[in-house]
Amino acid sequence: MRFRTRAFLYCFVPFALLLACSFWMIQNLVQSRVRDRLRTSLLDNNKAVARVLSKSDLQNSRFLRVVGENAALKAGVQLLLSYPENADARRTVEDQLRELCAHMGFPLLVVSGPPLPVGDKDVGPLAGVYRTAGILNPLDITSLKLPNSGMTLLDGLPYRIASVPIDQADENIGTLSVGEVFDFSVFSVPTVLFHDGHVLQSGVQGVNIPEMEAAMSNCRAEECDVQLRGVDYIALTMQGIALGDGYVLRNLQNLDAAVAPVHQILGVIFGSVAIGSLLAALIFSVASASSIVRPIAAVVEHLKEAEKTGELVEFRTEISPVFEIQGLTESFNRTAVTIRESRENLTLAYVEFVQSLANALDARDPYTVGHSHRVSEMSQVVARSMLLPPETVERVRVGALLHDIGKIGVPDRLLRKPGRLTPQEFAIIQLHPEIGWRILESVHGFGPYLPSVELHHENWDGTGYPHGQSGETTPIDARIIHVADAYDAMTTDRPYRPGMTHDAALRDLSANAGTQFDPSVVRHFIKSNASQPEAAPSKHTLTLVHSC
Amino acid sequence: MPQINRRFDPDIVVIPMGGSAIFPNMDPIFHNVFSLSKAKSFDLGNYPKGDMRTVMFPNPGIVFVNCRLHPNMAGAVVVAPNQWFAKADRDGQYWIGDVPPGTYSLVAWHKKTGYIHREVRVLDGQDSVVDFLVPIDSPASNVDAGANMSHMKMKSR
Repeated sequence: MRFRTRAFLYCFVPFALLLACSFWMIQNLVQSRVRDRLRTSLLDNNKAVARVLSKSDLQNSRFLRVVGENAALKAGVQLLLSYPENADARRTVEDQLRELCAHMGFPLLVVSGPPLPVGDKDVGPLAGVYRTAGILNPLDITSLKLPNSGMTLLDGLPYRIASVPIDQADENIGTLSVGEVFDFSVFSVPTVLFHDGHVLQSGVQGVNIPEMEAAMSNCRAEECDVQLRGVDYIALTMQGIALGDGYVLRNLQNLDAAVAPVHQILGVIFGSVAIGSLLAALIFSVASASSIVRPIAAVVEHLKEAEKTGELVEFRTEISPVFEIQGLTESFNRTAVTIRESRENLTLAYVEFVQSLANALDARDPYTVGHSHRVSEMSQVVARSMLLPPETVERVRVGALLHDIGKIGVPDRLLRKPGRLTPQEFAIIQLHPEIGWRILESVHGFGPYLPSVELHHENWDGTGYPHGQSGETTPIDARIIHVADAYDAMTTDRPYRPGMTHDAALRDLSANAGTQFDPSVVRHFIKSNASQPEAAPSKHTLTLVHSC
Repeated sequence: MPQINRRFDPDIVVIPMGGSAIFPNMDPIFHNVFSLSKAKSFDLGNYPKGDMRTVMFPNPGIVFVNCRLHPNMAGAVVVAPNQWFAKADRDGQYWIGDVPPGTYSLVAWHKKTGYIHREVRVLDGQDSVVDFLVPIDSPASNVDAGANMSHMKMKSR
C-alpha cells in the first residue's frame, strides 16, 4: 500500500467511524425518546379509556339497580325458581327480558338464580336473551357460564358483563346480568383483546388473527415490542379495566410510523452533516497525507535520481517546514557530502598515484622531466580560454596529466634514444595511447580521461594515430592536449637537437593548424598565452605539484 | 276473560253481582291474574297455558285485574248490581231490555272517563233513548272498550 494511501486511511477512517458511531448513538437515543413518549401517550390514553369505561360502568350499575327492582321481573324469577325445568316459565321470563332489552337497548340480558345453592343445587343462569342480526333470541343457558362482571364470549363475540342482585323482601332471589358487545371504538389506538393467549378481537388493520397470535406469543410482560408484517409495534397491557380471568387488552402503537418522521428529519440532517464532514475529512486527510508524503516523495525522487546518475547531490532548498523532514534532508546532505568527498578523495588518490607514475615515467628521460605537468597546465589554460564548463576544464587538466601513461609499456631505450627513431621504433612509440587506454580502462573513475589518453595523437585532418580519426570526432580534451603536447615537445631540448623558441613553436603550430591541429585550439593556445601558465596558476595545480 | 297474546281479551267483561268470571291462559307462557280492587281482591298465582281459574264476584263495582308477570296487561270486570246491564257493541250501541217502567238512575262506565250518571224515565211499551257523550281523544283507541259511542240507547219493553 502506498504511503499516501495509508496516511489518508489513518486520517480518514477513524473520523468516518467516529461519525458513524455518533450518528448511530444519536439515532438510538432519539428512537428511545420517541418510544418513551409513545409509551407515555399510550398510558395516558389507557387511563382516559379506563376512566370513561368506569364512568359508564357506574351509570350502568345505577340504571341496573332500578331495573333490578322491576316487580314483574322479580315475579318472573320467582316463577322460574318455582318451575325450574318448565319451558313455559322460561319463555315467560325470556319474554320479559326481551321487553326489557327493547327498552334498555342491551344486546344481552340474563337472569340467574341466587348465588347460594337452592337446596343442594347450584342454580346458575335461568333464562336469557341476546340480540343477533337485530332479533332478540332466547339464549341457550344449559352450558352458559356467566361471570358477574368482566368479559365473556358468546358466539365468538366478546361481551362486557355487569350484574345487579334481584332482591325480594330483603332476600336475594337472583341476579340480573346485562352484556354489551365490547366496543373497540372507545380506543383511539389499535387494541387487541386476548383470552388465555388467544386473540378474540383485533383492532389492528391488515393483520389476521393467526399472525397476531404468533407475533404476540412471546409477549408476557406488561409492555413488549412486537413485529407485525415487518412493522414494529409497542404493545402495552391496559390497566384499570375489569375484564375477568384470562382476558387481557393490549394497545398497540406503530413504532415505525411514529419514528418515521423523526427518522426522515434525522436522515436529512445526518446526510447533510455526513456528506459535509466526510468531504471535509476527505480534503483534510488528503491535504495532511500530502503534506507528509510530498516531502518524503521528493526525498525518494532525489534518491532515485542519485541512484540513476550515481551522483549524490545535496538538497539545495528546504523541501518541507516539518522538522523531521528537515532532519532527514540535512542528514542526507551530510551523507552526500561525505560520500562525495570520499569519492573525490579516492579519485584524487588514484590521480595522484597515476600522476606519480607519469612523473616517474617522465623522469625516465631527463629531457622529458615535467612534461606531463606542463602539458596539463597549458591544456587547462586553453580549455578555460575556450570557455569550456569548469568540469570539462578539470577533466582536460587531469586527462593531460595522464595522457602519456601508456609510455610505461615503451622500453627506455626507445624513449632515451639519442637520435631519430627508425620506423619500427616509431611504430612501437605509437602504441603508447592504446597501452595507456588499456591501463586505465579497468580502473574505476578513470572513464572520463580515456579519450585524452587514447586520442591525443589524432590529427585534425585524420592523419594521426591510433585510429586516424579527424575533426570534431576527436573529443575536445584530446585536441587541446594534442596542441599543448606538441608545443612542449617542440620547445624542449632533445639530445639530437635544441628546443625551439617559443615563437618558432607558435609559428609551427599555426602552420599546422587545420591539418595537424584544431585551428580553434591553436588560436586559443596563442591567444591565451597558454605556454606561460604560471601567469594564472590554479591553486589545485599548485597543491598537486607541491605534493609531487 | 282469556289471556291471549299477553292481553286480557276482551279486556272488559260485565257480570251481575254474585256471578263468576273464568280466566283461561291461552298463551304459551305463564300468566298471573290478581286484583287489589275493593269490590274483589284476589291473586290467582302463576299458571301455564291451558290452565284456567274461576273467580266469583259477590260485590258490585269495578274490579281491575292485572298480571304480575306482565305489568302492561290490564283488564276490568264490571260487576253490575242487578240484571239490567249491557256492554256497548263496537258501534257504541247498547240495548237493555225488560226494564219495568219507572224512573231509574242509568250509570255508564268507561275506563278512561269513569262513571257518567243519567236519570232515565222508562215508559211502558216505549223505547227510552239515553245518549252518553264520552270525551275520549280517539275513537279508534276505544273500539275495544266498546263504550266510546256518543249515543247509547236504553229501551224498555
